Amino acid sequence: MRHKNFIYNNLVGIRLLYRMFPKSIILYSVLQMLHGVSWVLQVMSVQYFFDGISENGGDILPLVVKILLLGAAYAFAQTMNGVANCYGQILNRKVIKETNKVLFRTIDRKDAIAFEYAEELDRINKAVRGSEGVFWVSTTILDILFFYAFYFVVMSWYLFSLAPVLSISTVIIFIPNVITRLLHMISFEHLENEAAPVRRKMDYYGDCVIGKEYYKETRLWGCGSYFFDRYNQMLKKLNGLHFRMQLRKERVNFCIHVLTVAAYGAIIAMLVYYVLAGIISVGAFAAVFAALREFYGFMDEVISERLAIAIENMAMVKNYLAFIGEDPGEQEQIALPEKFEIRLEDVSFAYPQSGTEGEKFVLSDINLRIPWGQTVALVGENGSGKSTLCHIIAGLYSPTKGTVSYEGVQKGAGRIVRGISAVFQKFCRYSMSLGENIRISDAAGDKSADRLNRICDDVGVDPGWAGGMDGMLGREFGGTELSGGQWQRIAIARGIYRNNSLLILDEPTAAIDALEEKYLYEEFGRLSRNCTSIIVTHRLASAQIADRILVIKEGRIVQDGSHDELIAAEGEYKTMYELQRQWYQ
Amino acid sequence: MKSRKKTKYNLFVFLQDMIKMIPFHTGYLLLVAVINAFLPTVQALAIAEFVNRVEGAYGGALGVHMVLVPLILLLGIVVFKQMIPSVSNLVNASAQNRLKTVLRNRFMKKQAALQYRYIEDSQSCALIYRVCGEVEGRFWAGYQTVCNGIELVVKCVVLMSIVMQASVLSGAAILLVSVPLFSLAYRTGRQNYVLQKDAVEVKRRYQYLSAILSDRDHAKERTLFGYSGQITKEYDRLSDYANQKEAAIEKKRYANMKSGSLTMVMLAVIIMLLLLPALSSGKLSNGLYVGLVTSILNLVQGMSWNLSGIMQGVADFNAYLKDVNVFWAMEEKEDAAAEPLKIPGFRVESIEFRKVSFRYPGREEYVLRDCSFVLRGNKCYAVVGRNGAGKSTLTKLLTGLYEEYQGQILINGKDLREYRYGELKWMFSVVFQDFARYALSFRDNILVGNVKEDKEQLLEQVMEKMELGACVQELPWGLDSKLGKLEKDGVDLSGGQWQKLAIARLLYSEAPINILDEPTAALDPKGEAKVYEMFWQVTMEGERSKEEGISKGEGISKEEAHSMEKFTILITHRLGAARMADEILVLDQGKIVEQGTHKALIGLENGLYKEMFDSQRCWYET
Repeated sequence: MRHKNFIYNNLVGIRLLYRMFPKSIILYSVLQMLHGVSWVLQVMSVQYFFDGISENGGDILPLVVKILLLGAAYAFAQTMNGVANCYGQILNRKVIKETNKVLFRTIDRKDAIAFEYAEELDRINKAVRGSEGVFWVSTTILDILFFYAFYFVVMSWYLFSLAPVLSISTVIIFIPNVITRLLHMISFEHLENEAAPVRRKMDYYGDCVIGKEYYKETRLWGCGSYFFDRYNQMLKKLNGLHFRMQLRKERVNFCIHVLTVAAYGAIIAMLVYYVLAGIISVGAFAAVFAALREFYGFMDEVISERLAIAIENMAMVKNYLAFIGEDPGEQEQIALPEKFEIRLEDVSFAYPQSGTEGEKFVLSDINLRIPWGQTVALVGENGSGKSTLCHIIAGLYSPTKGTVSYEGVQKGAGRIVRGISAVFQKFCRYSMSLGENIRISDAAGDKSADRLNRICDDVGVDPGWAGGMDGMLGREFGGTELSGGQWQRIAIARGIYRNNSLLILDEPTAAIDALEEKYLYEEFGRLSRNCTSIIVTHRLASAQIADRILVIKEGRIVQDGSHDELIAAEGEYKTMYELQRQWYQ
Repeated sequence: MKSRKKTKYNLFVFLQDMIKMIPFHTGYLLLVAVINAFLPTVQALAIAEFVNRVEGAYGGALGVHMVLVPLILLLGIVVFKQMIPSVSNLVNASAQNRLKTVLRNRFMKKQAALQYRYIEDSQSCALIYRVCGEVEGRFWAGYQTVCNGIELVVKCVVLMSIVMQASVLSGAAILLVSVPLFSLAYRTGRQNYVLQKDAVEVKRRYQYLSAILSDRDHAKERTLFGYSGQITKEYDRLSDYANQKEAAIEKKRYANMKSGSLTMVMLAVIIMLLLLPALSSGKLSNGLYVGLVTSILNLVQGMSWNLSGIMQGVADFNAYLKDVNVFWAMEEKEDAAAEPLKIPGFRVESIEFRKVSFRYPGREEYVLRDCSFVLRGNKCYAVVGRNGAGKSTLTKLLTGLYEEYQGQILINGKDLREYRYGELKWMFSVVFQDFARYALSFRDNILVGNVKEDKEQLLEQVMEKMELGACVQELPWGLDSKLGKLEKDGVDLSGGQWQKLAIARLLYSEAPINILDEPTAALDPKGEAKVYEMFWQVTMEGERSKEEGISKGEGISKEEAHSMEKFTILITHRLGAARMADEILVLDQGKIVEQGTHKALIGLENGLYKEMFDSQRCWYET
């Protein structure tokens, strides 16, 4: 079953490769075939030469010719080995580029929620890794067909031509190898599973001493030796497991190798018998004997290395192939009208989770209308669902139940390309130039310097931080590393740079200190005059710049009104507000 | 151990060290290498014998008994080649186990003792990671490479000596030809190593774009901003460029490697040609000639891969040893691993910064500049300031994490540097913003605060004060429930609960000085207010019960009263929380610009504190 799948997926992989680079794949196969031939030529040239020695009567010249022929055969094999492998390496890079591009396109067409879903994320990660392996895994079959099989067939034919029975040596040598593989696949997984948690614990206790996360505290509390002891306990346990695992493996290997030796012995016995019986020449004996090592080596290589690695990585490639097979296709591009009303009807949302009992709703029964131009503040405790609501309004998550629509255009029909922008709590820090960091939010838009400069000016981004708009940011590529507050401002500039009618700001000032925070909020107040905006904030007082405040508690809207209205009523908002206010009395 | 601090690793020292650590394993590996080196020659001789006997008997009666000896030799070689890997794998596993135990301990101890500055420096961290990750594997691989090298050399020498025996003249000629050819092969092998290093640099940029296009961190912005198309174009362009460059490198690499192989083929051909006269004159038997050729050809096949593999291995390993030396040369903090050391009768009277200037290593700008202030015992202090004003640096200097400051820090008039590190550890306990959430049991997470004593009663008190009782009751195994994801049955606490636990840890320690370094940054205002309220309550209570206890002269001894006395420094950028302190210090541009009570500071016209406070307060004025 497993092998059938393996071959099927392999063929799918080859088809994909063939569609991308038909000529290159054919060329690759031809090169591998020539490579296979070249190895057989070596064996033949050796026999030819050795026979020449036995029959030689003292004349050197024919031997010189034969030596040169032999040298040519070896040189040819070495050259083919280099050319075929080198071509494979280069082609591999080209293929990775293409498979990655297909991957990126598929990811781009997926819902952002996929990344919040542990299993789906795992699948995506596997597909990403799989993309790198498509070439090597898929070409395993090509290599086997065009190189190894070719080599073995021609060798068998050569052996057959020497003495028909000799050709069965191919089979004899093949069997123990296959048995080894099969045994390895079955019997060691559980030991590996046993070792994994021990290794994880060992690594963790090591981390408690020397990991960046724990270093200073473990030092200051003086508890390093405590973790050290635990580390060593685990290390000892792991070592024991490891050795036991190896011992079992080698026990199997040992038996297999006895078989191999027997097979080897049988072949040699046959050879000797034929030589003694005068059926094959002593030159052929020496040549075949010399070639046996290669013969066996290739067999080992194809089964223990190529096939084993391919089977191991097949899961990843399979994932990749399945993943790109799910490509939802070109999405309809929706550009929202310049002014739109947002409407949420009976919206509930639960993060997709598997295996846990029941769905846990982060948001329940949200009904909300946000008319064009309103500034709305979302307040509430951590974990109350504010950020999730933002993601739903931004169109990143589709509600589990209910509908979201923008001026009647319902989310779900396609990708919204224009009209919505946001600054998220966990904004990105791109290792690009300062200008690119901001312009990325509207990558296809106009690139006028004026607009960029004006926005930077508005939110307090100083191009001098990076030595100009083209200065690189982030340590990754040797750029300037900025402070948290500076990055935050760039994120805000990025959010604003995008052509938008709806701006969502999710705790946009978390990394900015009090003095500048006030300035930024005033700026937000000014900016939100030309668009609808939604601001998540902890600082209740800053919610006052909003026309309307929504208090979220445990996934529901518990209060809805202007600051004055809410402060006049007894309720969550007033309690929270008073609590904060008393600090500043 | 001590000598290692001084001696630098080179290949020789490394080998000595390996032999000392795993004498049996290193010996075994060397032995196998040498035997392996002799095999081609033995094989050549066996084949020679076989061929000679068969040829000698042509036409005559030929029996198996005549070729028995060479046959047994040939089979012996097969047995050895097939069986030895199993044993070697076991030795391998055992060697790595042993090395792991010795080396990991040695390297980790060093790592745990480093000056803290290395840990915050990403370059040093990268180096430490390179050196210490899989150290046993690196060492073992290094030794294997050495053995492989020895094997290759011995193999060639032994084979050559047979050739020389057959014909001294051609042998000498061969040596003459082979030296330059060999060195050519060697040089190309080295060149390849350098080439490969270059290729890595080119790759990094498009790999970064590939991450932007596919990873989770960028998922939201990628979807919202819809930049995939644009970035993919850039990716396409960059990887084309890189592929072109890499293809060129790859071609050169293979050309190098294969020209090495072709050289070896040529050498083999030359050897065969040079031996021909000896063959035809009968000095060299047909059998030996065939045997030698077989072995030489076998050698040629493996040579190019072997040689470039060994070259690469040696170059890699040399680079690694260089890194190891840099690592061992890193400065250590004295007493880094010491446990907290109690100073009997210690009371905090004052903490003073005297003209302290400090900048992080490798940075131009000073974080603290001539910073001077005095804190007196028995008070609660708050330090406020803008982001990046250097607030957290104060903690790092006080707790001895950084020592490269100018000026003086005095505790009770004694220079901080004159205290032993253990004493400092005892003196301070800190809740950092990113405090450690150990994957231990709930109980052990608190006990970490005082590793020397296990005081059940104090633990209960602390739990009660931080209102952790209810939280613990909900856990499946109460206080002994494992936290975090390390164990299968581990449970996780909420942010607020962890916060309380961290403060409980601090209360459990008997440190006379407490520092809270922005401990609530991750909490929402409501949670934050709760934590502060609780904390102030606990410290006030300590003060009060101390006073009461002493005045009533009952129950509480003087010693116990001391242990309850908590000198506290709160570092925060939330001004509302700071005002509860007895005195507030305002840090700006590396200096204390204001110091006083909330009332005093709020009264300062044009003061920074007032400005900050007002900017936060004005929101709340109706």
